[in-house]
Amino acid sequence: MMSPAHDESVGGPAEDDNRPSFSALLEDDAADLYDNAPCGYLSTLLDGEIAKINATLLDWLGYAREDLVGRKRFTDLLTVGGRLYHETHFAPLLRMQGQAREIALELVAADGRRLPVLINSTVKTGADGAPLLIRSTVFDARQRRAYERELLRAREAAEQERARWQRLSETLQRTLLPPILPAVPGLEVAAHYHAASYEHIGGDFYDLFPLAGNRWAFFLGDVCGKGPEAAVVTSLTRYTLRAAAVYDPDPVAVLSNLNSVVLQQGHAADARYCTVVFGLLVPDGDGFTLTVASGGHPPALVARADGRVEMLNTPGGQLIGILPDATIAVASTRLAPGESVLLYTDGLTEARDFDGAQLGDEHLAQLAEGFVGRGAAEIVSSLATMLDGLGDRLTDDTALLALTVRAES
Amino acid sequence: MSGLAITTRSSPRRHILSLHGDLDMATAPELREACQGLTFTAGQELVLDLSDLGFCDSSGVSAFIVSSRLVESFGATFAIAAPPMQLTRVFAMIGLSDFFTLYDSVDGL
Repeated sequence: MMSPAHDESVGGPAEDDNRPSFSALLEDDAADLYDNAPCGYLSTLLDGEIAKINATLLDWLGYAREDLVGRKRFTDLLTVGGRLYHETHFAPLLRMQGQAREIALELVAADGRRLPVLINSTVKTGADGAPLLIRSTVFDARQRRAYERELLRAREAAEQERARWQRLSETLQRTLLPPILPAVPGLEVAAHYHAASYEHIGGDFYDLFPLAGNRWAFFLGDVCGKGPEAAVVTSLTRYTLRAAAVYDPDPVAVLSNLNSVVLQQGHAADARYCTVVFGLLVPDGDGFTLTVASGGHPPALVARADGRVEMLNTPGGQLIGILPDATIAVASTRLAPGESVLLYTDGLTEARDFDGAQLGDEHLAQLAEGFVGRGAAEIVSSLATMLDGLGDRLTDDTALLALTVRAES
Repeated sequence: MSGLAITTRSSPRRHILSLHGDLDMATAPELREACQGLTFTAGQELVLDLSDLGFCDSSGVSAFIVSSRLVESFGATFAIAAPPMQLTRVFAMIGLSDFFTLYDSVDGL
C-alpha cells in the first residue's frame, strides 16, 4: 500500500533515502519498460523494414527477434486486406501528417493466428526535419473486437426481429386491403393505398365486390386513430360492410347496420369511430346508376364527360359508431360512359404541399379538372405520384378508389 | 415541438379547460385525464376553451366525445368554446355540428 508521502514525491526527483526501492524502480524502467510494456513497440525504417521490436509484441506474434529485425517489413506482418489498407490509408496518412492514430489492423502471428490490434504511429525526424524512422505502439484489441462482434450480433438480431414485425405488420395490413380489385364489366377500376408509416397500421380501408343482379358495391373509409386498436375496427368494418351488403344492399341500410355493430363493440373510454362512403352501382343502359351513402365522410368527386367536376354531396351524414341513431345521408347520380367517380380519405385533403398549406377540398377539385377524359388508372396514378412527391409531409394514411364507366368500343 | 398544455379554471358553476397546442393521437389522452381529474356535480358545466388550439385530428374529436360522455354521466353538461375554423369544418363533415353545445368564446362565462 502506498502512503500519502509516496504520492507527493511521484512528480519530483527521488532523493529521499527512506525510499530506496522506489528510486530503484525508476532507474530500472527504461529498457525493461520498453521490452515488457503492456503494449507492443515497433520501430521501422521508412521503407517498413523492422529495426526494433519489443518482447511483448514478439511474444504476441510468436516470433524470435532475429526472425524479424532486419529481415521483415511491417507489411509482412499484415493480412492481404491489411496490406491494401496500409498502402491506401495508413502510409499516406503518415507521409502527409507524420502520424496515424488508432488504426485497426490484424497482425498475422508466426503460427498464422490473426491478432486484432490498434496501432498508433509517429514519424521520427532528424534535426534537419527529414524523416528517419517510424515508431509505432501496438495495442491488443482482441477484447474490443470480441465486444464489437457481440454488438454487431445483437444489432443483427434486433434488425431481424424488426424485419419480422414489419413483415407481420405488412401481412396484417394486406388482410385489411383487397390485394387486387376484381374486374368489373363496363368499368375501369383503380385503387391506391399510401401508408404513412408501417409502425402504425392505419385505419383506411376500401373494397369493391359483386352483388346479385349484376350490381356492384364498393366502399371506402377511415377509422379514427392508428395502430392495433384502429386495425380491429377496420377489420370489423370491412367484414360487416360486406355481410350487410349481401343481406340488404340499400346503402342507407348497410351503413345503419354498420353503425349498430361498431357501436356495440365500442367502449366508453375509447370513442372509436369511422367515416365511410358506401356505393351501389346498378347497370343502366350504357352507364350505371350510382347511389352513395355517407357516414361523415368527405364527398365523392364525379368527373363528367363534358369536363365538369361535381362533388357528390351528402350533407348531414354522421360518423359511424358513436351515435345510436346516426343520420346516414344519401345521394344518387347517373354515370355515363367516360365519367368517373373518385373516393378518397382525408389523408389526401390534409396532405400539405411544399408551402405547408393543406391541399384542401378546393385544390382537390382543381386537380380533378385534369381527370376529364382520363380513366380510373390514370387518375389514381397521377394522384399517387403527387402523394409520393410529398414524402414526409404526408403524415396520414391515404386511400384512393376510382371507377370509370368504359365508353362502348 | 408539438405538445399540449391544459390550464383549468373552476367555479361552482363550471370548469373551463383551456387547451394550448395540438390535440392528436399522442396528446388526446391528456385531455381525458384532465377531465377525469375533475369532480362534477349535477348541473355543472365543463367548457373546453379551444381558442389556442393548433392541430386537431380524429383522435382529438374522439377525446371530445369521450369527455362529453364522462361529464354527462355525472349529470353535468359539456360545451366547446371558440373552436378553430378547421375544426368547425370537421364537425360539419362528420355530422357533429349540432352534437356539442358551442360558444363563440369563454369571455363572460
